[in-house]
Amino acid sequence: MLSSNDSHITDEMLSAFIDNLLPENEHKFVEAAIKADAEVAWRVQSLRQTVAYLNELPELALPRSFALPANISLTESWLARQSTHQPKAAQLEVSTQDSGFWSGLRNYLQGPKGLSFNAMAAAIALALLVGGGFLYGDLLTENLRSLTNSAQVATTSQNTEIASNADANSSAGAETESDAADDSQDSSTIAQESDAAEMATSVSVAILPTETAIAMAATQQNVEPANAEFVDPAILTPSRPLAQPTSIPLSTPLTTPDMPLAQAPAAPAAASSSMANTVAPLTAQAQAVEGITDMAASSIERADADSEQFDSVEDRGEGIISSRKIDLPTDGSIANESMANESMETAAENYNEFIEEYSPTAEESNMGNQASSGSLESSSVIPFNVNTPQSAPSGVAAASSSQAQAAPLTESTTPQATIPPVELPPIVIEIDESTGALTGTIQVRQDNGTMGPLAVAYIGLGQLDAMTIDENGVAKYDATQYNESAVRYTSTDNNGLFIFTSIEPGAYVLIYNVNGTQSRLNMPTDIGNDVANNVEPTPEALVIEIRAGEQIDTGVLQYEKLP
Amino acid sequence: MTEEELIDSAKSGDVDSFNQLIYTYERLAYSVAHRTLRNPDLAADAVQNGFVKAFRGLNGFRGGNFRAWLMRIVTNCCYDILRAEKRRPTESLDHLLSGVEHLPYLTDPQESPEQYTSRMELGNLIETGIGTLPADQRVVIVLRDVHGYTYQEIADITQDAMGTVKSRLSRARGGLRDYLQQHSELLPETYRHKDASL
Repeated sequence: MLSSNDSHITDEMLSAFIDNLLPENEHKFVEAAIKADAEVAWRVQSLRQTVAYLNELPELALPRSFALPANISLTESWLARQSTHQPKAAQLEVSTQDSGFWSGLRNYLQGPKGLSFNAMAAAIALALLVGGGFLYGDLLTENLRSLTNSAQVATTSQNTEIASNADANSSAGAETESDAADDSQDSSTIAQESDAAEMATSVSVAILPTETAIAMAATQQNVEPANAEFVDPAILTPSRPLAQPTSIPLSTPLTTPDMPLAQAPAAPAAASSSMANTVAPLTAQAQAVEGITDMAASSIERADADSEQFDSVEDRGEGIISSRKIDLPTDGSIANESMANESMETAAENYNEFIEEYSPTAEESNMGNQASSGSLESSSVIPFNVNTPQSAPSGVAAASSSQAQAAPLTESTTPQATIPPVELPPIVIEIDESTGALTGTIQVRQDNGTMGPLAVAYIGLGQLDAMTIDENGVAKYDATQYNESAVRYTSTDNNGLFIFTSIEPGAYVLIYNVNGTQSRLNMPTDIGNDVANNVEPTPEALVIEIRAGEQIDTGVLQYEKLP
Repeated sequence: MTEEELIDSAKSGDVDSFNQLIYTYERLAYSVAHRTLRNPDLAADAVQNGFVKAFRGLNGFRGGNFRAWLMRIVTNCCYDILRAEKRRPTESLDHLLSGVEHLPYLTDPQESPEQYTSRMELGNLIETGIGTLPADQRVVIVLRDVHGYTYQEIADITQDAMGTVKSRLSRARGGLRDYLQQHSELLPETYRHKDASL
């Protein structure tokens, strides 16, 4: 604080003075002091200059739109998507018809356990370098011993289903083990060549097969031989595939940017869902079980050998850590090595809890298998099927069933781990009988030449109010005739998805709002079939007719350039 | 539609009307939040949470200055985040990487490199100086001297007495001036005190 000869003139008085908020007598007093005392004059001048500097500070650019979604019921999940401080997997709240294992799996992965599971990934990665290799080898050994025991039990009981399951699981386990070892070694090599962050990422990938192995063992133990009686005889044919899998080499990370670590546990589900409908003749089973037993025994030996390798990896990992200065975050997310180890153990416990809680019954296994026989669009893309609430479940079921019948029958002869096709539920928006809904995705040509989503943009819906009927009975709208002040707005998400609900029936145009300037979106190169079924749009205009009780999905609207 | 009409419409559940209000005030809200929280991500969270809370609590708005009411909610969200951050201190790696050498929102393509550098240094200095102030003073000085709120509006937003607002503002201005004086080599000649010891 600066001093002044006029000590009774405080900065508070001077602050009010420069804002002309002092009473008249005090104002005159300060004015006189300014003339009489250079120090007071400088204090006033410096305060004024400070305020002037603040006045000249530029306006901050908005990082994104803060507009609320049209359907406020989506707010919570939408907020989670928008949040940059605590990123969270994007998830629309949708009406789903499924339940049971798949629902449980999804809820688990999206719930607190799933979050903690993901959050522990970093801790697991660090822990793996130090002690993970040792633990990993032990777990694999125990797992494979368990598989061997299961196979032997199957041999004794002559239960064909268990034998087949053991085949699938043992094969997967063998692949898991070998690839995991490769991954772990790769991780070690990468760790020596890259920085700490990259090292953690690569190792976190290597841990996935371990989790898969744990889950597979747990699933195996939860399947009773009596499950065979629930298997539909119609699908118990020798040439029936063990599964209609999406084969993914375990050396490949089991994650994608859009469906990260949480999706990985689908692998054990594959084994469990394929158990109910995979069977082979008894003679083949006996041979298969013998082979499985040998394979599992061989795997145990290899796992033991790997344990020694992991000891070596552990030593190397410690060397890496000691030779590098890794500044741990100040928030204590990875406070120390013991915490990381504890997190790893907790993750394994949580996972086993999940498997026990959500392991499917025989019926669910059948259902899951039928559903999983459908096509998997992509593990990272949620198919956006908009249907009326009445037709959605049946439509989806029919598609899955037909695809299951048409699935080619192949026999898996080499050990491999599989991830089953996952039938994700369609997004169904609840609408009432008097209004409609509109959804769609907008893409625009990016600077790099590819089509990309129009993310976080203001998209409006303007209702057309002028319509004529031509001689052929076709309704025509003038796309320019909409009330600009009555345009409803929403914001696209990061995938360019927009949703309008509770739309009064009528014809509408989409509006693109840039900095307050409204521009009508024209007809794109590719639009959905439901758009303007009986409306002939004016040239270049995209006119969408909304009917009561219906949802319209425009599909992906692609634009080379937006207004 | 007037602001009152938009508010009435939003009270009946029309999100679009409320979004029209958001378009009007989001820049202001984000600016205040950013300069209060000193973190763009936290600021965005505060603004978004504030707008959602405002929409949900709109029926509690009994008229008057909507801007002040809205900013009070956003400011309270900022305080909530500050309290949470105080309990769980964190340091953004992104922030460490970017440092204070470059503030992209201060760029102006129309000026020369020398002008840009000079203004950048001064702008950085002022922004950093604001960051050294206590949070309650930060809010007041940003609302008053950056965004031009009246004392009464600030009192409404912060729910403090007018005298408290005046006091905080004067301390904030004095504190910022003293901070700038410590870096007088970056300031214009007229701003430097004749006695360097002061």
